[in-house]
Amino acid sequence: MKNWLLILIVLAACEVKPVEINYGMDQCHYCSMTIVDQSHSAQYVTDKGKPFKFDAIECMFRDLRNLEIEPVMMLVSTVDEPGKLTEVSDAYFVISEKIPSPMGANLTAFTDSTEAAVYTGQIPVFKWQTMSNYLK
Amino acid sequence: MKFTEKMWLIFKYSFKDMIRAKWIIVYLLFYLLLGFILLFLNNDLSSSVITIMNIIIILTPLIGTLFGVMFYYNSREFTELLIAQPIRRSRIFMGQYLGVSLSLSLSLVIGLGLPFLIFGLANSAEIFNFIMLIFIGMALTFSFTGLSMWISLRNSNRIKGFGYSVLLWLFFAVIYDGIFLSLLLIFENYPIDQFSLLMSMLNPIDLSRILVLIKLDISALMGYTGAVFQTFFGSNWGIVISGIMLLLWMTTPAYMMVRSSKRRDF
Amino acid sequence: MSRFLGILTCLMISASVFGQIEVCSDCQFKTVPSAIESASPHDTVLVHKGIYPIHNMVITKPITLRGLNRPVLDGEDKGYIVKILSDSVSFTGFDIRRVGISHTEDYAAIYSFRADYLEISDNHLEDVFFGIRLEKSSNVVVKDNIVKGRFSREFDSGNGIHLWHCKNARVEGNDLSGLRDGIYFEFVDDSYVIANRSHHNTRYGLHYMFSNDDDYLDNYFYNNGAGVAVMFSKNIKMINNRFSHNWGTSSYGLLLKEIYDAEIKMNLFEKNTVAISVDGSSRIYYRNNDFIQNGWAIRVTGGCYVNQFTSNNFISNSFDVSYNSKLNDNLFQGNFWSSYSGYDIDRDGWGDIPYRPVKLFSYVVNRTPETIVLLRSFFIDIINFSERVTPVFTPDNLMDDQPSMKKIKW
Repeated sequence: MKNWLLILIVLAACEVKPVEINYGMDQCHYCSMTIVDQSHSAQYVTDKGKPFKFDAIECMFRDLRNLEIEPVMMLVSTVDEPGKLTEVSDAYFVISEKIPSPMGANLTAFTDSTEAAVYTGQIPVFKWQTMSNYLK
Repeated sequence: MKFTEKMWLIFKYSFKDMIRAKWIIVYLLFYLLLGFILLFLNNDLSSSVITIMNIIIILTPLIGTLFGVMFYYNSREFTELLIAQPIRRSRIFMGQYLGVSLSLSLSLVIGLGLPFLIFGLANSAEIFNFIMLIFIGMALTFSFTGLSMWISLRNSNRIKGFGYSVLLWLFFAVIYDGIFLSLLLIFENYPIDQFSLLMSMLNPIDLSRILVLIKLDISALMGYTGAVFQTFFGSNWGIVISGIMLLLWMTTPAYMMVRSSKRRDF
Repeated sequence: MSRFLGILTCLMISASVFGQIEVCSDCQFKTVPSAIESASPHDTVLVHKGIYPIHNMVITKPITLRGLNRPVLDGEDKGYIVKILSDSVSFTGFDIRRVGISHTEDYAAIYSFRADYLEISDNHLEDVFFGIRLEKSSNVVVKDNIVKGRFSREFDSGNGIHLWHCKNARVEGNDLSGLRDGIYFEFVDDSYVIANRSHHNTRYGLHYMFSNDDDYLDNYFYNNGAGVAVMFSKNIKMINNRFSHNWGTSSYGLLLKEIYDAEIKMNLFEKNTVAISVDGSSRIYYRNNDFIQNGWAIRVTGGCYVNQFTSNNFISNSFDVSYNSKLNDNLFQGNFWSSYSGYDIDRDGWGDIPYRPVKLFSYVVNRTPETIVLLRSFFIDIINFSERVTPVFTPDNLMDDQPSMKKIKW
């Protein structure tokens, strides 16, 4: 009985799924800042199910460059749906001074591409795959 | 009610026997000395509480183990005599177990309580931590006395019983944490926060240490790691769960002891 | 002489020319914007006691706005309250409350853009989103204001005093609470932060980002999510500040991230989970600081070069120094360590054997944070002891070879 419980708990711990971000409590894995901004936070989960949280999308992007294996899940908060985590592949990104981001890159994600265009006008809207063309 | 009466008799006998033995006086004096010296050397009550914790969580299990084993083997002939009488075995062993563990607990309470009473109980902030510390010491005494008597019951060879009991203490006090630490380091890439809490629940000594740490200010330090630790150490959940677990650790060894006493042939 | 006369005449003219306009319920001007409208440059607008609903009031000429007996400017949660778009505006003595909240606009009670020589003093701001937000404004003084946020952990907290691309600012004697960051400097150079109290803020008491050549002195930071964060900045002097009770799960007194050439002197760090968390920062001089009862006194991650720790007091910290890599070009000398157990036979005041401030366990915890559950366990004491005798994991040369025997006074 006890053994079963143990196995169950171990299995539950290994499941790959994002965890909730505790705003005002959790720390950014990359820059150690407290995560407060519900429209710029980000998170990835490794193949072993360990989640890492970030206060800004640029922090996650920079942290990923030091990572050997690509994480299984990468999620970002968006300005049009703050507090909710969206898969990076579904998000649209914009770099605009109009919406400052916590770490100074002014990088923001949107779930809706038309919404993104409204905010930015002439500035290009791009996807996660081409991020490296825009962000150093 | 006759049976309980008999258990009470056996308890009284064991208790007196323990008190008469010189070792328990030495144990009491040790705590008295420790309490006075600690409070005398640093008048900071809160740091004495931490030092006492370090001593209590190692020493009470060891003493419980040693006295449990010694008492069992020393009074074996008398016990066998009792078994021939129309008394339920469980009453006999429960009586003995309670006699040993309660007399040990009494030494702890008097030995540490007296110096603290004299040196300023007025500091009410620490008194709660102190009482909890005493309770934890008692829980550990009960737990390890039960464990050692259980082991002794299952081993008629005195040397073996003694060896296994001390080994069990060594396991929980030192070896367990070594294995624990290695496991954490090996699986550091996995989410191991729940696992590490579970591991610390499964060792009464770790459990007691954590219970004290939660109460002391250090809890914030532990919550540093993430959400699971935060909820565990940051809210009352930690205290409730570890309290219940410690209670289980107190009662289960006694239950196991009584159970194997019924099965054993004398 | 003639010059003196000239100045005198100038003054006399100004006294007569620069007029004074009053605002109250019985005055000619009943609202503040109407008074500003008809004021000439450098006039004084005196606002008497009363409640004035105002939002998005724009000031485009240099004037002095002064509240008498604390008139209230009520923003009714509608957005900005005062927008200063002109140089030489002085704004004093108001109670301001209820700034609007938005996800995409950083509404502030007092906002300025390209406005130099401002003075914002003695205002009481309550229920703000952002309090005082100054952009591209230089030579500004923000003094003796009280800013209270909404004491919320959620998105509706902004910063108390937020400067962006400013120079020569002086932020002095303000009281900031219930905000995201009490004071936030972003691209702010050559500025001073003096004698402020910043407390109960969600994120930081004071926050520097991409700012150079700034000083902060005599401030008191307590009960914040974390005390002060200095990030991506150069030449910051931190002197005689107090960091206390930044005591929470992800809290620290001071965070240094990629900063260079800083001085940290005569500060008091007490009861912080981490007193100073240092990441990739070089040429930092720590001198005469008190570290008392912190979880970690100094927590170093990433490469930190040529840092000097001299004459500090490390008293009753769970970990004095923790370090996650083996490299070390840092100097520890002449500090007092309360957990030092050496002796001083030659009686010169310095311990005869070196002190190693890094315990093996702190190295382990830095690598695998979850191991903290083993804190104060007997096994950990054993491995700490053996590591102290024969160092294997902790840097061999990371030690104070001249530990002080007595607490250092200055």
